[in-house]
Amino acid sequence: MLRWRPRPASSRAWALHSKLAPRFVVFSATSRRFHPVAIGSGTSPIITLRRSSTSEKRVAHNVKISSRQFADVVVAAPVGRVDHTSAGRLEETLAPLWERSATDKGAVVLDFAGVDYISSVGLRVLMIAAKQMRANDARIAIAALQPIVAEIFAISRFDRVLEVFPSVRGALEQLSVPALEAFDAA
Amino acid sequence: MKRIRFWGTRGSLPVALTAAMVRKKLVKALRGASGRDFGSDAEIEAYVDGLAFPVGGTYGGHTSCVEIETGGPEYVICDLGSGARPFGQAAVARHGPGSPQTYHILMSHMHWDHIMGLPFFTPAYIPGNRLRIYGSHPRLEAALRRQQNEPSFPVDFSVLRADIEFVHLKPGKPYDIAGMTVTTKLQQHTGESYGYRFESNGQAVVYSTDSEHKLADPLETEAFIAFFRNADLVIFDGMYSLADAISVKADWGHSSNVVGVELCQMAGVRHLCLFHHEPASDDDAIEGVLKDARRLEEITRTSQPMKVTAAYDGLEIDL
Repeated sequence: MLRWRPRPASSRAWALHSKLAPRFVVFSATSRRFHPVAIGSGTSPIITLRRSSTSEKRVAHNVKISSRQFADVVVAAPVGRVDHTSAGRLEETLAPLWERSATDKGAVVLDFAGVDYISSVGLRVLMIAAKQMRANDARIAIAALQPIVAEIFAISRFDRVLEVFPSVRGALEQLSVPALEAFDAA
Repeated sequence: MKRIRFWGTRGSLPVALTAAMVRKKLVKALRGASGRDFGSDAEIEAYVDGLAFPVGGTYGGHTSCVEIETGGPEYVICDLGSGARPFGQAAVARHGPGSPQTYHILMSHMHWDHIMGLPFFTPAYIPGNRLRIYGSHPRLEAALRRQQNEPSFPVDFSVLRADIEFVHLKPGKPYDIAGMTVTTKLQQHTGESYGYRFESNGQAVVYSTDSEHKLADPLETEAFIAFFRNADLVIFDGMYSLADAISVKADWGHSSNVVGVELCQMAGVRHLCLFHHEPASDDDAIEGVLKDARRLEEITRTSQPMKVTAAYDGLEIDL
């Protein structure tokens, strides 16, 4: 099974075809936060998704996050502990992704393979994202929980209110065929 | 402080075991006894004592009423839910109606499930008894008088023959009550509720029910951690699952077992007692909430273990 691995530190850019653009989260990670970037005009904007070494940001002293686009799905991968000291920054960093996905009816997958703990404050961030995306007919899924985090999801009953998958691939399989194809081709 | 005794632990509304629930417990107990030979009543009782709590017992159905046994002659209770009725009966049975007592009653807030026991609180009808009713809520007295007005109740508040005094407590200010230092704290709950911290002889107990923790404001979280700091016991509103508390039941004014564990761990609390159980939960469901909280404490522990229990009507915790 293919699994996504972080890209090398060198800069990389993806140009996305205009017909897919409305369903994409678009961002530029050139500063401490991700900023939406949309270039184009009329109803068929040309969207440029830039990704560089700066796209892996330290959002708090104990959690980092990187992200990658697969067709109409953004896969974001936090790494570390998501607790009361880091959840706020995590929310700030992820908010543009899910806001844009909600607008474009796309999807976000949070790859939690690198998250070794999440507190109630972090779970609240996921709930905010899920509410916003559902309200806009968009989807958010969580994938690849470590055993301890999976237990926390079960204890808090978040496994009943969020879509949780054993792997990123499994999530993409349910969310989007183009995204799954892009993931397998990567 | 010597002991905490729970007379009512249910949230929102009193509930009772149904015949179907009792039958279910009996079937489980008898299934477990299959093939055993009991030679005496003592053996039967030993078997019953060994049953899981949801099979051999029940969390009970009275609403909030918690007694603090100080070791002194005066009674101290938190809230006047329906659990105040059996508490009052027990106090009168112990002393007899001819022996006046003092009751310090500390009110978290004035919602019905926390005041409904007063019209049935026998000591309030006995001349010579002294009731000092404390609270930070601005409508403390009005709410208690109003619930006994016609047509809601047939016996008017004025019929209560005990000497009843209302005492307003300013939040954050320490007061000396029945030999304890008592401090109240405003909590997030519709219509305002107040938590209590009791300190005496180096011991601390916190009664924090009907309190929602939004988790969005770090300063608010820090304030509660300070309020709970190093308490020997925190009685905590664990009514909902975390997912419910921050989604479909957001702004309903209650908290979860998960937040209880987290706050108490951060505050260095020795014993967390889950309280104000959801009335829709049966004994198995409450036991599940408790098991989840214990497991969460176990997998997130970074220092000394914290004891986690769930209150039930009749539970006594020695301090």
